Amino acid sequence: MKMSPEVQAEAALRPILEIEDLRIAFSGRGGESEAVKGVSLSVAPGEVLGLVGESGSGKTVTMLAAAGLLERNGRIAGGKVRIAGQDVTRASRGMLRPIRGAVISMIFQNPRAALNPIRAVGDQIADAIRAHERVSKAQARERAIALLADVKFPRPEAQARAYPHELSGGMCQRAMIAVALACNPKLLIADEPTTGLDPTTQKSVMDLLAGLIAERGMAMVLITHDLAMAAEYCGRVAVMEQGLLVETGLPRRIFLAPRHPYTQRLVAASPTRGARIEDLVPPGALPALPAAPAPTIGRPHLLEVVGLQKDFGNGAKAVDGVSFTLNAGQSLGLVGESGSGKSTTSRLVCRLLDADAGAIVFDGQDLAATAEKDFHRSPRRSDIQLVFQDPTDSLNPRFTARECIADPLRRLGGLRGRALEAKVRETADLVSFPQALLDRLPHQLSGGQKARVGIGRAVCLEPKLMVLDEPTAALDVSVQAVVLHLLERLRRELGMAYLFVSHDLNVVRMMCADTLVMKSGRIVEAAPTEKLFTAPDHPYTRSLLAAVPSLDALKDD
Amino acid sequence: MSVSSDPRAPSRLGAAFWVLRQNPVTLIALIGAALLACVAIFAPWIAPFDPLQSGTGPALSPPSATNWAGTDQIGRDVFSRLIWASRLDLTIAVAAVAVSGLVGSVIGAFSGYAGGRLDRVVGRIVDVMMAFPLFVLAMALVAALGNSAVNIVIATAVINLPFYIRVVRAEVNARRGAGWVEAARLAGASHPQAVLRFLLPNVLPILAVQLSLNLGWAIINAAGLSFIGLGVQPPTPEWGIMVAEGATYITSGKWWLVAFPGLALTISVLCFNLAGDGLRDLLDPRTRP
Repeated sequence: MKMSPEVQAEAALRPILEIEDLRIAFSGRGGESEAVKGVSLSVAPGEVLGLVGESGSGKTVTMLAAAGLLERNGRIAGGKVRIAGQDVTRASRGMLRPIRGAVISMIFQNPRAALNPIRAVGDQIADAIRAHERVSKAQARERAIALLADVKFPRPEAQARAYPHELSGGMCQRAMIAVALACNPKLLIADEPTTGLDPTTQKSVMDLLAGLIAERGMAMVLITHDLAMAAEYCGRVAVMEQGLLVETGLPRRIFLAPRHPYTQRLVAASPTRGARIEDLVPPGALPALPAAPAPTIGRPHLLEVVGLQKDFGNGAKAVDGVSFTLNAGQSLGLVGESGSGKSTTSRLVCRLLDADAGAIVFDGQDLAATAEKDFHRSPRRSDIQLVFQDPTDSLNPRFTARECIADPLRRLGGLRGRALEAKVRETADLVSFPQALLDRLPHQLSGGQKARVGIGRAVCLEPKLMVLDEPTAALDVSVQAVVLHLLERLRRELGMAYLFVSHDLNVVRMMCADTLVMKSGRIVEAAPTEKLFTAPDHPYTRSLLAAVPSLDALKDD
Repeated sequence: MSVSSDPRAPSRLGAAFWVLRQNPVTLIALIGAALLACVAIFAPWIAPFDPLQSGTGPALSPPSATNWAGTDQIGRDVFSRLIWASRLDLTIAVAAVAVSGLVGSVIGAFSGYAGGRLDRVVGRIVDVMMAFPLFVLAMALVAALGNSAVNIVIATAVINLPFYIRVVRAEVNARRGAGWVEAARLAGASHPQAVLRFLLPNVLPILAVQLSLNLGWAIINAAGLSFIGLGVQPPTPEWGIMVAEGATYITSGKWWLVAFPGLALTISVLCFNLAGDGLRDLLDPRTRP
């Protein structure tokens, strides 16, 4: 479809994307339900709009519908979508084909899944070009290589022949951006483009994306759950909640003076400098935290890790001489990027893995002396527990919430029958999990509920040490706030010590008194958390801190 | 965090009905399989004649009101023989599949969980087994062990083993790093417990498909062995033997001797195979609303 010059001139003035009172319904087992309940928004040429909201708010579905990519069980139940002035609400696939890619283009959360695994990235870009323009293979290839250079591939000629599995996550997302930009679209929809990437990679990908958008005068809709990222990269922000658009405005206004109660809650739940756990949740919404236990300096350490080493036999050592100490009732942060060895360290401490060398002295006893395969019989098993990163992946799909919590109580606590049931209910209350939901299977629970089951399972035996492996990484900010509050309360009530593994520095800052920074299997910096944040010693710590988007930047302007 | 207004967890039965309504083919296949099982169980009451009694009608007479599926060369009632044969064939198939399913999935699960050397050794043995033409292997086993129904079960079980080992090995291998497996270990489960109590139940839905498919193959296999004269011997009513005996008369137009046992084989294999696909949906907890 060709547009005449007059139409094009007119199109340059009007919004590139207009959504008017859009309603989207999904049909499922329980009949039809509305996911989007009347959303109106527009994107001007060259504008970067941030669409923020938590999972289930309908932000992705709205944009998928705009791009004509709704799944088969979804339909537009009302309203209008106009792309460059053309009504595409009921457009057929044939009508949408020239629009997709050439006018509107999309990048997704998981670039590895969005790229074709058996085709070289250069060819995939060339395919996108040839799908919309009549150019020769050689020309398409040339443009593909130029695009790869644009997205900062160091050796575009050679890397055009690379397959997705040969590239890192960050490079895959760059390749995906190149595919999306192949036909010079006027609007790019970026759906959580950096979720799952490390903070430093995240920053470089976002900086690159923002630069390319500005350079080409394109418009972008950035769908994200990360308020700080929206604040940093967007000119205007729209907040969605449960299928409704609750507030739109400039980032400064939205985040510094939110008007809608939902936005206020969302902003409050986002960890910032100087915030305390109590500040994340609305006052009075949750029981107040008990007083923090007195520090136990001088007493023997609860945990002393000395010279821990682990080699999986694939080149570099995963953990290379890690040593640290942790006192009873204290909280120690462990930060680093993926591949830094922090997860391996946490598995070693939990005795799910055998170390190659080193000692794990817990309460005066070297646990590394017991082989991992026999540790389940050790009386120490119930003293060290782990809370997992992904609440979905860490619950047995065939176990109900009750069975998940009962399993450790039965095996390690030796409880049976009524005593077991009573303890399960008590645990559910302790982690604020509704007892009425105890018979549900994991897939019938929300993310926050699953997180509570995972925490309940770990605390029911009242361990002395809890290893928290990114316990809130998979959760929405408001749920994260509640879960962090819960973890802090449990630590103070039960006097547990935490080893808090995370890549989210803002969270570690609130939760931990001391923090370790890990890189390539080694601890590069260990310091009291406040000192680490205000006066970091190691250059790596500084680069990590610089990469973390934070709402604090708005306040500093 | 949202709490649904209805705190009751939806029932398993309700979910099963929902899945079946979406998938009528499964429903038909399951009903067919159930009917077959009933026929086998109630054979003495359903069959109008003794399967071994000759002279129930004129020899080699076509289907009639007395002999619904005609009679064979010595006047035995083909319909009664078909009914009785289902008993033997289904028993052999179920027993063989149960044995190979149980043994194969345990071997596969441990091999997939442990990885390393055990996995490589098991993998190579499976490769060697699969390099044999499986039916020839079954023939050799029955020939060596002797002609009996039990030996057919053993031979069929052995040739089906590699499939279970492979399927379960792959599924367990993919899940062994899952958080809930580590969680089981943290809760005090030993490695064998983690495999048997946690991993195996989770691959059950996938296994159900394999079990049901294999039930079909096992029937064909048992019938095939009898057809070539190994295993069950005449005059025992068995579908494979009936096809073999009827085959000599097909050129003289006595079609019913082959057609009915052939049809019985086809229908039963089809039912079990189609039911397998549906079973996966029924057993997967995530399909519950």
